[in-house]
Amino acid sequence: MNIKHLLSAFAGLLLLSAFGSCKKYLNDIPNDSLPADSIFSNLTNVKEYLAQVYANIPDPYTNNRTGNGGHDGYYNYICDDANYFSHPEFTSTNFMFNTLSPSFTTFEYLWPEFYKPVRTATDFINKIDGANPAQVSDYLKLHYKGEARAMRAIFYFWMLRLYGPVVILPNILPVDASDEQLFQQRAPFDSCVNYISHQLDSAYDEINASGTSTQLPSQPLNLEYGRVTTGICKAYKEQVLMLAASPLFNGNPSLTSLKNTDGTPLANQTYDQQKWKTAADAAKAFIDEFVPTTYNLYTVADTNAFNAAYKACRDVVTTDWNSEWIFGKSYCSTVGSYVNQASPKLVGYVNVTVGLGFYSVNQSMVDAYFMNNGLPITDPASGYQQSGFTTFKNPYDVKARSTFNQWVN
Amino acid sequence: MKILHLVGRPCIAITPLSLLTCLLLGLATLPAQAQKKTGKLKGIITNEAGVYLSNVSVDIRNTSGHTASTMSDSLGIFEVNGLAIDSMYTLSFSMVGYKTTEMRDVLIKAGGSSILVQMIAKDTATGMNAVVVVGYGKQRKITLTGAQSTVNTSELKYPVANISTMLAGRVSGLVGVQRSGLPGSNSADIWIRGISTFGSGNDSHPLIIVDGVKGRSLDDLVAEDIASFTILKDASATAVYGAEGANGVIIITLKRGKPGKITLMGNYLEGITSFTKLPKLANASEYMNLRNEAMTASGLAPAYTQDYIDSTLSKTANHYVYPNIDWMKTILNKVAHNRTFNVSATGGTENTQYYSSLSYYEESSLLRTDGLQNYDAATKYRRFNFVSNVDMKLTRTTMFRLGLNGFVAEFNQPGNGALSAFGDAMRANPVLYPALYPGRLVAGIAEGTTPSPNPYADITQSGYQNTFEAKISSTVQLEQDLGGILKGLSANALYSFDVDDTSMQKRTRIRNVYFLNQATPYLPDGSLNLTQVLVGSESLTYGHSEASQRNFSLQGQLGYSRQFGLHSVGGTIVYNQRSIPNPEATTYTDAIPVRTQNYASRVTYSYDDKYLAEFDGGYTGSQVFSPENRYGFFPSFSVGWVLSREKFFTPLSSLFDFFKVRYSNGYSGAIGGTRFDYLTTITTGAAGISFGTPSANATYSGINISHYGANVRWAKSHDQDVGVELKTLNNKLSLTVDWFSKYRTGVFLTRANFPGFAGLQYNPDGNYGITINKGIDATLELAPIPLARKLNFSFRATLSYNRDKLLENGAAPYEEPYLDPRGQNILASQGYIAEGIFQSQAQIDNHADQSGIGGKPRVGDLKYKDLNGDGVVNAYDQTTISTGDVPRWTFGAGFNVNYSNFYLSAFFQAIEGAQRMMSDIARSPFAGGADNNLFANAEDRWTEENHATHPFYPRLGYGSSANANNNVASTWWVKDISFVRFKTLDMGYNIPQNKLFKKTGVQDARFYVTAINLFYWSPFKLWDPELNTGDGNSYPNTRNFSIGFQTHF
Repeated sequence: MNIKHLLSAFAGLLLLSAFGSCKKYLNDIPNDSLPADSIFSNLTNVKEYLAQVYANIPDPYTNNRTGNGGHDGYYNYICDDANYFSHPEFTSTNFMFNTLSPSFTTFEYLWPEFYKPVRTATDFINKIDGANPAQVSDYLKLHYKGEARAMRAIFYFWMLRLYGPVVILPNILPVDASDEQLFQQRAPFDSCVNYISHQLDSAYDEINASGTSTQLPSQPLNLEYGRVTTGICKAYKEQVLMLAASPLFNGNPSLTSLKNTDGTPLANQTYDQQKWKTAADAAKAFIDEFVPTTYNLYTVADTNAFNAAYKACRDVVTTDWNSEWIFGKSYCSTVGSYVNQASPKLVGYVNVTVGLGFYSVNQSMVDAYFMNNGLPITDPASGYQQSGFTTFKNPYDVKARSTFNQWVN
Repeated sequence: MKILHLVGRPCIAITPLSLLTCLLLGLATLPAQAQKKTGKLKGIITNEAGVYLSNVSVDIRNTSGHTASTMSDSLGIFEVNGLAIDSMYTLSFSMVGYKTTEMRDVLIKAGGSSILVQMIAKDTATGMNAVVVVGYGKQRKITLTGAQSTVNTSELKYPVANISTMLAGRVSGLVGVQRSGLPGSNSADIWIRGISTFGSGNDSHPLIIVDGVKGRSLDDLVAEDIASFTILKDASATAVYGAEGANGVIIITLKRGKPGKITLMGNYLEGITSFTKLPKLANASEYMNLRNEAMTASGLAPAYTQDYIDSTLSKTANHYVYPNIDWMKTILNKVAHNRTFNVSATGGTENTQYYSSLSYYEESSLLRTDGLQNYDAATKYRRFNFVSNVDMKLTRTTMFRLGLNGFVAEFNQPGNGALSAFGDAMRANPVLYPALYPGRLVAGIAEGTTPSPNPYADITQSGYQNTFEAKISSTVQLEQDLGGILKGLSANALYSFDVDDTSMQKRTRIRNVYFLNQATPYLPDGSLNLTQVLVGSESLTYGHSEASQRNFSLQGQLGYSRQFGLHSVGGTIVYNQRSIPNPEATTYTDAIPVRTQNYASRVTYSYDDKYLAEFDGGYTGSQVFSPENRYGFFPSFSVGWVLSREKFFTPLSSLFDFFKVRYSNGYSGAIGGTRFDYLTTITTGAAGISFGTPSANATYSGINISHYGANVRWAKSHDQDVGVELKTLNNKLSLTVDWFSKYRTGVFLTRANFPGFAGLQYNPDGNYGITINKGIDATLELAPIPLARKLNFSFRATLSYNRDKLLENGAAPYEEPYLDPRGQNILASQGYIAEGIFQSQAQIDNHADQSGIGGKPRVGDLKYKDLNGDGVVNAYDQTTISTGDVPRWTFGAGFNVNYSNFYLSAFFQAIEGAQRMMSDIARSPFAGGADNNLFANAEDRWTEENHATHPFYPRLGYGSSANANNNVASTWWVKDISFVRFKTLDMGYNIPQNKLFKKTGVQDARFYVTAINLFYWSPFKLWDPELNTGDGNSYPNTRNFSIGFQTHF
């Protein structure tokens, strides 16, 4: 009987435990991953979140400039001075003859890649004021906010240049947005321009207000070149205004049909000469404020005037953050393969390092030039020969080499 | 009349006229009460199946007019005190659905008397009073209002490793396909009422419950141990499982003991297995000629000269130099064997019953081994199963049940895996190299750093892998009758702990690989000029891996069941919690056990078995759901009406013996997605930026959102079901038909219609998917009817049909309406519509431009439809071309014939409405690696000479670009894989009762023969259509013939 009582007690306990369920049974939550609100809890995270905004600045050298990863996509390939006839992943003929498959998504690549920093920047701007004050000073908050705001406007500008009118999102779309919330329309081109230039003005004001005597607003924060400065804000403002003045988007009649589904025209249909004036004023404002104190023409001293000009043109690209650079992306990776592909193919040369010649001029460009006697190739007196080879010494080459007759003189 | 086994003292009163039989058992445990003039009578009431019957009214009277009455409790026990000693009483037992039975002349003895009562169900012919399993309980079949069906467990008793392969067609509403025949890995994919969900992270398979515990596996069980097998199909039946029931539920109970003498069972089966269909690959002659043809057609020089072909085919040539090998024959035996052995013992006393069994199963594969190796690479599967179920009555009102079952299984296979053999045989052509060069050197060529496939070397020379799995499932259960508190009330608690451990040890190697120098095959001394092309290792390396799983559950239940005249009322409340820890977790997140909680309730009401109503509800909580949506409620109601019990039905009663209609409407749920999906987390590994100059720089790594928390919840299935059950022809023929509709919303998916301008790092998850699934399932059953003297015939057929449709997949609008998978069935796949074969250059020139698919098409290539009429065939011209490989229709039909002591049962299954897309060598024989083999049917192709209009293959081409136009998904490659299969045959001879039986105590014995997968008919000819492969690269299904002997004693 004792055993029976014991077992009955056990039964009772089991029943009790089964029914007396604990509400906490499901409450275990993993604490080994960082929650979202930790971003603004310390300075390191704030800096790294802002770095994410900068991260998607196009890098034409990344990953061989193929679509995914290289933020320039394939646009280099299809511009008319490039000649990517033999690139393994893409041939420009596919594009020219319209034989790309519809599933070829590379041209869609940049669209979300530009909007990602836009979203991050908006989130950053909305939350930076609430960042942990023990870690992030008011001064940094203001400066960082201006940087994020300027970068957001610059990404919009790049999209505007690439896609025309775009969707302007003053706030972020929630992740559980309804379908209706997702159906956003593109803003008319002029509204986009307005938005971008005003945002750049605000960013200028924020960065300018955070400037001190040791940290000039025209200089990047802690001299970390590549960060937004007041000068960059004003330079991009001039760029976007000039795009607005250009005939492409200034009363272009071929864009009449560019409308939203509700009928809102996206491209203005009346040419406005005043836009040139606005753009010019912006350029003048930039020059007045920053030249020559912050930016100046880059020169290289050389006794030979030609050499001085040549070297200045060459070195302005290769000298880091010289006085002529306004904005750039530091430390672009794999520049080597870019150089390799841009260098001439040097057909016929042996035992020398040759490039791939993807950026070499094509024959129609060569033919567009006058001969060294000043005559166009169509003139029978020009001496132009369409076929055959000859030995010819290029004025800047060290010796004569065998080359096509079309390329001679 | 039934004979019950005598356990205690001799029977004092038997009433042979009654259909009930009783025994009196002496109960030694009862203290003597000799001084008093009154005694007590105690009894247990069961039905024929040994199930304890509660709520039985017991009336007692003696000749002197003394009367008393009581009711049996939830354990079937009744007790009456104050009866006159040495007096004879007459007892009467009554209960709805059972024949009222009387027991006369029961003597009450001084020490008290006890009896065992068996009640016979009223309408045995209709079977409607049988007690069937329902979610968290049992119900009489007549009172069911939900859609469910049961499998006759004897139909599962075939010598197979996985009983899931026996189910398709045996039970209506179940769709099952066996995807492989590899020993031990040959379980079937099972769905109830088809597939109603889609996307990764959403399970479409049913919830399986074994002995009351969720999440156990069907394939771990031995058919001999199964007492009942029930599938629950609509929300009325599954709502109690809350968010876990939407895919249907399979409930299995294992056998338990019955009071009575010990019964031992022995069963032995020995069988041979062979393939149902071995893919037929091209022989050397076919291969070389077709390859030459393909190469010529592709502008290449033929690979083989006529001289070489002649030498290869010559019987006298040196086949090391001119290889000619049938790889399938080289790696496969003609037959393999399997063996089954079961023993079980069952019995018990009034207080303790037990069922225990031990089973052994082994199956070897048809893969060959190399007898010269000193390790065992034979592919074989062996498993020992055990069951030990013990039920003990602890007190008069308390039942304690302890269930243990499990298995140890061992699977041995070649080091490269048994499955690789078939893929390799398809990737090695018959004239490439022999299996081994003299000196047992492995032949092959180097494909980078790995050897090319050599099927023989892969299965015999690569070492071995040995996987050992042990699983124990344990269940402790207590049932307490609470009639003392409230009549009809009972409680039940259950705790289970399952553990499963798998360890794999392997010793593998890749041997040195040699290839004949093709230019100078012979060395000066006349021996073969072999070159070592790959350095391997002759010694075996060692590796191992381990895996384990655990599953705990705890359950408490309160039940109430009572009769008030013609009214029956029942109800149950259940709490269930389940925890699945991850013993192999490497992060804290993974280490948190996966937990669910479920509350369930059911209320049933019936009036005179005529009007039936039921309400069910499940309330489930899961960690997967976000905190604000942590618990979901799933209600359902159902009603039933037994028309045949109505007075107005009388005119029809000569036609229908039984007629019932029922309707159910309710919700059940499905848990999808991943755990903690609702948490927003960040990553420190995002892309960053570098600022500054080389001399003064600052680099920041990026921080960003790695997962957007989504408000994740359950998917909800709104089920409706209309059912009709009828019996006719004097209860011999019964028909059950159900129409159903399942509308599922909230299917978990990654939302693809988030526009790029949202700027999200990843598309967020959410419950956005919607599907609808409608269908019919039906069962037609003919009870045994005598055809002639001693000759009986019975028949059973099932039909399952469903048509599912994807209504919303969270994707953005498609460019063309025909590209949209919405509105198509869930498994639909897309491709081009093949209009035929280009028979001339003019046809190509006049057709839309196909060059975007695979360059300029050639005469003999496939012509695709330009769906949008833009003059170009490209991805915008694809549409739904295949409904997928899960059938819409499943049929099953079987019959049993008994003649005297002989019996024969045959079962056929069929599927219709399943399609498979050909791939790889079944689509473009020479598109892949140069050394691939091809199917023998490659002869059926378009050639310059035949200009065939509908051959299996279009023009052959060599290399990927020559095949590019044809080697894309198109209707040309969608093959109908419907089939009719002679699934099982069981015939045997029951040895008649004889003197030897009586002497040895043998109750029955039989010899029998079984066969599985005897043959099939299908329009698809390349391989067994059930296999899950588009190119035949799978271990084929097997056919089995066994002979066996079974006895009970």
